[in-house]
Amino acid sequence: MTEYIIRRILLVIPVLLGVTLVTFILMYVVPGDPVLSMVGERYDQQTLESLREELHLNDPLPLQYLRYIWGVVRGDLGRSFVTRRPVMESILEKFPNTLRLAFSAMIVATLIGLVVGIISAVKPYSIWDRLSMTFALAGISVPVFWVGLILILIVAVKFQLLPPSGFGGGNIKYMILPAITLGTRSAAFIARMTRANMLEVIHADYIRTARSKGLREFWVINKHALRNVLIPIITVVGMDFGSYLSGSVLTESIFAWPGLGRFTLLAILKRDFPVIQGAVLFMAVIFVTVNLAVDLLYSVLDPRIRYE
Amino acid sequence: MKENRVFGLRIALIICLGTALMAGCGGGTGTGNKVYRTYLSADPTTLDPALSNDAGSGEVCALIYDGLVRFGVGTEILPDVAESWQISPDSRTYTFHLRSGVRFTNGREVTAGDFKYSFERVMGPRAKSSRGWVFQDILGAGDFMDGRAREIAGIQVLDDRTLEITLQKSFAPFLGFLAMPAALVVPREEVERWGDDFCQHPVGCGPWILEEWVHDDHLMLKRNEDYFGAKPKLFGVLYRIIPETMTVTAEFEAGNLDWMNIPTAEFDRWADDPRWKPYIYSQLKLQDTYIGINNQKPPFDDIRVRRALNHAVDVATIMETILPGRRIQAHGAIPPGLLGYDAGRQPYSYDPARARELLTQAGYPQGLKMEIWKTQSPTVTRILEAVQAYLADAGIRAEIIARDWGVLKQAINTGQPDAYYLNWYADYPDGENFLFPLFHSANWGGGGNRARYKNQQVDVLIEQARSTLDEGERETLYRQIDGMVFDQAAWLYLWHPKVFVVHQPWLKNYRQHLMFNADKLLQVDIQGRG
Repeated sequence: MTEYIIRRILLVIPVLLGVTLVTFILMYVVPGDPVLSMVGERYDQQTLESLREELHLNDPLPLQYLRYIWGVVRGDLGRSFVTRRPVMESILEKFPNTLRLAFSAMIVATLIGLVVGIISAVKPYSIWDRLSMTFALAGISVPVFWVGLILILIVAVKFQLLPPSGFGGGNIKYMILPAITLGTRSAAFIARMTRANMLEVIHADYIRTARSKGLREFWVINKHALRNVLIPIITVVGMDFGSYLSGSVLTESIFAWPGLGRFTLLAILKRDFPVIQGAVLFMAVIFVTVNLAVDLLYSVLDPRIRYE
Repeated sequence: MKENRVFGLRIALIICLGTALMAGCGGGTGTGNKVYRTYLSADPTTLDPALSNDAGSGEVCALIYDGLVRFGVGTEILPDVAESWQISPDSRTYTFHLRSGVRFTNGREVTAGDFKYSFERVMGPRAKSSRGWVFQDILGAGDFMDGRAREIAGIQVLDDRTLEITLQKSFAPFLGFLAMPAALVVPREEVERWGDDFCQHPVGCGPWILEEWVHDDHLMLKRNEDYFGAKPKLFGVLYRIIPETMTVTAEFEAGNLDWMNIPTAEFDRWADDPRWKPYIYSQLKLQDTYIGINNQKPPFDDIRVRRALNHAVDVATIMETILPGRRIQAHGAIPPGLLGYDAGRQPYSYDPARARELLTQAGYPQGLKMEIWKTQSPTVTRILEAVQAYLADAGIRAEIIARDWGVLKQAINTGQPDAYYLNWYADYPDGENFLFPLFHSANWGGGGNRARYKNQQVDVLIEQARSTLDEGERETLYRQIDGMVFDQAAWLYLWHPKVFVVHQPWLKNYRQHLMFNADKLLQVDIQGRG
């Protein structure tokens, strides 16, 4: 087991090196000069050159890459070219916000999606089913920014029930509208999947057996049927959650949410190399670590699994 | 089955992490009835004045720091830390007398030496500032920048309260340069204490002190109780960072912002609403919006082709239909309100027949093809599609190329596009700011002359105007230069934008300032906000 863990940890190194190398190459392949983002609209060539020199941008690319890797090894992701802030500090400041938003959006998506999907499947072809599937179709079709703006207009401006935007220091009332906005699309997918799978499952033999035992319909659906329906839904939830973790640019912009998505997008637009590299590497580390931890936990929770 | 379990475990792990983080949430920003609630569309890139080169940073820096002088509501230059100054008869030497009792917020008194340090810091390599050009006209600045001198010879500290600045030659807009963010004074000990992090821990002597900065969310400033001048009427300023204009509108309507810029798309709704009408103000911005033409690239090096472009486009109709009431058609680069603006000059007439005639004279009877580069902005797309249609009527087949700002800027600076859509904002309220950087041949590319316009006579006149202190004489020169460049159609001239703002009824003494960094928020007050 210990040997397996060491082997897996060692395997992470080439993965992360690959990520940094691909990111580094991409940054230099796409057009755009990072120094131009630092100098405003009026500058002289001498300033430009001295900044390039200061930032080692005139060095050969392999040397720049090795210098970056050496920094990473020492835990230093460098400083933003534009703001001069340490990249790691900025990422650690924003990632919890992104995580909060992703987490709350998935709760919203799962709750709404399951409830709507179950209602729809239990009463097929009824008015409830039609309403539910209309919601699902709309949820998949309408763009995120439209949902966000309509929610702001109705909930925050018209009825003043919740704040229109902002982070509010993490106060939960600031999280509700962004979470609904971000989670709506997932909720619609989950509702459709729940309905389709539930319709299959409720005609299965074991459900008939459960009913014949005299179980109440509520328990038949929520205990016996739902358990099997959940398996593909968890897959969807997991995939969506993964994508939310890398930031949700539109939702973050509409709700002025200080997350990793907008932060990374602005860095890309400004060709802020250290921030782009840092953010991509950070996300890679998160995914690799979660995957490793899950694989290790898997053997702990399922005794039949042995890693050698 | 195994895959699904793995997913389940991943979710569980992440939920645990999320719950832990949610549990750690803090409280909200403390605001009171005497806090001015404003906004920026992006987080300031820095609060170190030496590094400030965006409007947001400049605006906030001007609240935290002070300079020798500052901008007034209009084009006037007012005393700030310097209570008075004299200019020598040859107009090269400025002697500033500093007020006594001006203190940084760390408690130390501001001296003339602090200004010398601050200016040299901008010019020196350690601060990595791109604003060296602000001080490049000071005697010895070049030697200092090149490392040939340890200090700038033209900046002399006569005593703690007297600073003498000598220029290489007379330079009329110099006082305006000293009101720019790069010329704000910083305390050496704090810069050295914080190093690169000084941009996060500003210490100035201005009317406001940074209390909290949650990046990309908000900045909270509190009143500097030891400010040397009349203290602000309010206790705090809350800057929210709100990137989307629709969200800004929602926040304003919800009463969470004290003012806002009225978005173009919403202008009619607000302007027609009697509830808001008394609280709407407009102000012409010191800004040019233009389609720069690469004056060196054939066929646009031919003055007849450039004039044809100007005659081909009905700028007035585009303004009326796409941006109604929010622009003044440009008939020169110097905007109204600045020294050198010529109200009598007529814009290019919309005359497609004349445009075709000029193209035929230039050897393009069948018309020509061109590219116009732009950023990704949807409003700019609408404008350029209209321009494209007008050009097509005159036989010019224009292709619109959209690029993100970094790529566009690089391409323009190297002279790649035939033409490009761009804005130019004033750094200081002087006509020179719309002539020297934009049309002097020494400033091709990054210096501001992205049209690569070159005219030796214009160069000479600009240099002459820059060194002429007599306002009347300078105004005549500015008009002459602007007229010459306009006549040679260096750009496709579009317009000078107007900004419309609306504020809440409880906001008192609110005034729009001409310069983005002029308002120190000393007069603005809040009365009757719930």
